[in-house]
Amino acid sequence: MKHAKTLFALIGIAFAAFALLHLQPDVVKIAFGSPMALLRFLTIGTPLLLAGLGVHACLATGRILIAGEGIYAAGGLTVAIVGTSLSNTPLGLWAGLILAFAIGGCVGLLISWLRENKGVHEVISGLLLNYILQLLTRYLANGPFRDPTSDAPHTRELPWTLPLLYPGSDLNIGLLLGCILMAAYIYVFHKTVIGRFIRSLAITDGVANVAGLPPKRTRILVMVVSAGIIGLTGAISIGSAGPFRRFPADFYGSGVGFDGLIIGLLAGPSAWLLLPSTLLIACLSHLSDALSLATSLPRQVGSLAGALLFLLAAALRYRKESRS
Amino acid sequence: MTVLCRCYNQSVQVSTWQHPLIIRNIKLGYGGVPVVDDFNLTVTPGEIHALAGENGAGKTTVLKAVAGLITRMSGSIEVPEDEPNKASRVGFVLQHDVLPSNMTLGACVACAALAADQSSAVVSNQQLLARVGLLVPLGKRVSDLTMHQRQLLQVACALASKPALLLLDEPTAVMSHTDAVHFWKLIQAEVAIGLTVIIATHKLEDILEYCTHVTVMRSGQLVFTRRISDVTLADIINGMAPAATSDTRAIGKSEKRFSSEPIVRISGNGAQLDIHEHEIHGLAGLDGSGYTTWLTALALTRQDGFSVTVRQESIDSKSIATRRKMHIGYIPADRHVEGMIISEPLDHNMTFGQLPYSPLDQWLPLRRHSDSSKASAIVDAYDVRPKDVTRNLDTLSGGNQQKFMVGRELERNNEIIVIDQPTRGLDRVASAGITQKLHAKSLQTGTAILVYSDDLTFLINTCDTISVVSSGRLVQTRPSTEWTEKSLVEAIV
Repeated sequence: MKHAKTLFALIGIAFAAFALLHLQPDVVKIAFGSPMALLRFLTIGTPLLLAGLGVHACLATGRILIAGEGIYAAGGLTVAIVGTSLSNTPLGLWAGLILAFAIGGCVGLLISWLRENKGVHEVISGLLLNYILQLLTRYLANGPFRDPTSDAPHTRELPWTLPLLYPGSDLNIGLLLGCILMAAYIYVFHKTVIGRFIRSLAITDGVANVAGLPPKRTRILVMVVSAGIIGLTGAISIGSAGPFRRFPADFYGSGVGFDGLIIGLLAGPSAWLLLPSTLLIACLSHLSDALSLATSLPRQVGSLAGALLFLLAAALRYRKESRS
Repeated sequence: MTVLCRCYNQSVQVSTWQHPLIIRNIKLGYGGVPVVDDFNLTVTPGEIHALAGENGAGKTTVLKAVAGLITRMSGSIEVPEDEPNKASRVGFVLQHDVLPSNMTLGACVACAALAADQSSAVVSNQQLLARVGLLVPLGKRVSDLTMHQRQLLQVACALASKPALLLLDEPTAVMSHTDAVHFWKLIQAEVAIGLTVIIATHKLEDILEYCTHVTVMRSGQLVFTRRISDVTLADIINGMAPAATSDTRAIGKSEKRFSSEPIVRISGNGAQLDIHEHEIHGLAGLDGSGYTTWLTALALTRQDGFSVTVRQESIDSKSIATRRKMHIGYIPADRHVEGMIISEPLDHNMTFGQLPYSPLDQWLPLRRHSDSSKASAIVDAYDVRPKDVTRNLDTLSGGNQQKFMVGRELERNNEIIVIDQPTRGLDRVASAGITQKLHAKSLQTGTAILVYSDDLTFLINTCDTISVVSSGRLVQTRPSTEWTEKSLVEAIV
């Protein structure tokens, strides 16, 4: 009975996979049928892993980082501006990534400072900042930093891409960075004394405070780093080869920030579950692309499935908490 | 100006029963470990029925089962109906409140009344709060209340639902003597108009003075149920733990000699409190007397008008982390909020309480094996039950949680320890055990201990010196041998 839910979920996934294979074999072939398709899947998963990590770290301290979508866009725009401005120096790439992290961190600092010192709930300030960042990035990409040689509203093309992990694909060092950060996160938050204290903040401030770890300062630091990682994710997406390398005015709304939120919440308190949650959402996204190619169904089907999963997870959690 | 006062004349209307509550052969436990085994009890209407027993005897579990919070069990509980086919209203005052911290007092009481369909209550919320002795405005938030005030608010919420049966789990554990007397008078007044009460408490003298019946439990089993007139204190103690000694005085207390130079000096409000090496210094005072300022000034942060020196060095500007590095330990009163994470196992909770002294240790991997063996040692030394250190703390009784937390902090290498309510929720035997452990610590390691407790017997038995705090000031400081309970009460009040 202990593993009944897991068994039930596995049977459901197996049934869905069987149905998909039986009814739409082309979709699965397009999505996972070749090495390049698998590399594409990993490329899609990279920003999701980083965004999910950022959200999860905040959740571990009892705070929710809902402004991920705006921070992701701000990070992307930062690298686009810095990268094109410093195109003649080798520093452009790294300066862009560092500044994207810093911009994200600043947004996180504002949200958490308002929360910890002024009592403004991070969901409210996060939602409002999302709107501000959406409008600001759109204005800048469509105005002062717009590529004058193009009809489409986007910034100039970056003169470089992030180092690739596999030639011929779009898979870049972002995945490596994601794996390193993930390992560091699991170690610090789940394997060290300080991590255990940080995670206790999700339950009560008192235990950490009495032991000598200031709760407010710790939460601010965690949110700054988390938002910085999401800003960096935006930069990695723009600095990738493939569709981007320039910041489009409608970059906000790509869904990575919100998907990160789903991944973080699906994983619950376990950092280990971040990986399967990321794979699940990346799989949905990848499959919906393939489904769209094979059947001309809109790719938003994947988002719909993600939303249903999110609702299911929320309902199960509510049921569990209401019982306890 | 609104004048708030306590009143006994305005009683809360309660439902009444015609038939007894009958518990038949219930068996239940947590995680496969039996906690209550083949337990029987009959409570007739109008009784104040006490449940007595050691920590972990199963008292809280029985109350939870009667309240319907635990349903997985064998046996049966027959709760009489208020009216035909209408479930009886049961009020429950938990040992650890679950009140929403961001709500106001008025909202809490109104919600409790509404939930029980008693929105048209006879007495107003303000009257109800005054009646339970909670003399604070309705608009105050729960988060601004002290532990004792939150306990009283729980009682008010329970009474707002006009219950026929009131279940009380250690309601006076955080109350001063005066407040406890007021509380008992309130309960007796409610019982006089038809309320039935089942109360779990470790204060055996209170049982003899205020209750009508007592049931003694041991290891989840019934030892006996008797009328109060047919039982003595010794009977109850023997029933709880046959081998227990009733002598709770510290061993070796009179052998202590202190140096002339104190290691801690707290100055504030025109007075000075000195604590010497090997000394256990007690603080006595009512809730709201300002004793927390004296504890906090040493253990946590600077307090206005106070200055603290440790070995003649001022620590006023020191952070909490620095104070811990200076080997100043702290055992908080609220174990669930500041002491431990109860949803984590005992061995994980070894981590809490104090960050490692070295910053490097904070970032090194957790020493699971070492934590586990340390937790096992504490479980054995402090008789924490059950002994399994991989169990979550919330499966232990409140008293056993307390023993574990106190043990964890006493086993650290601290030179100074500040303790707020060390015996909260502990039975007589466990309290005596804490007394001995504190004395062993101070004698063997020279640790200076500052302790507050509302248990005056514990203070007199344990401390070398006792200071009384009133309105934030130190009123009197004397060796504990010069205090009696009566003189302490007089000084406190």
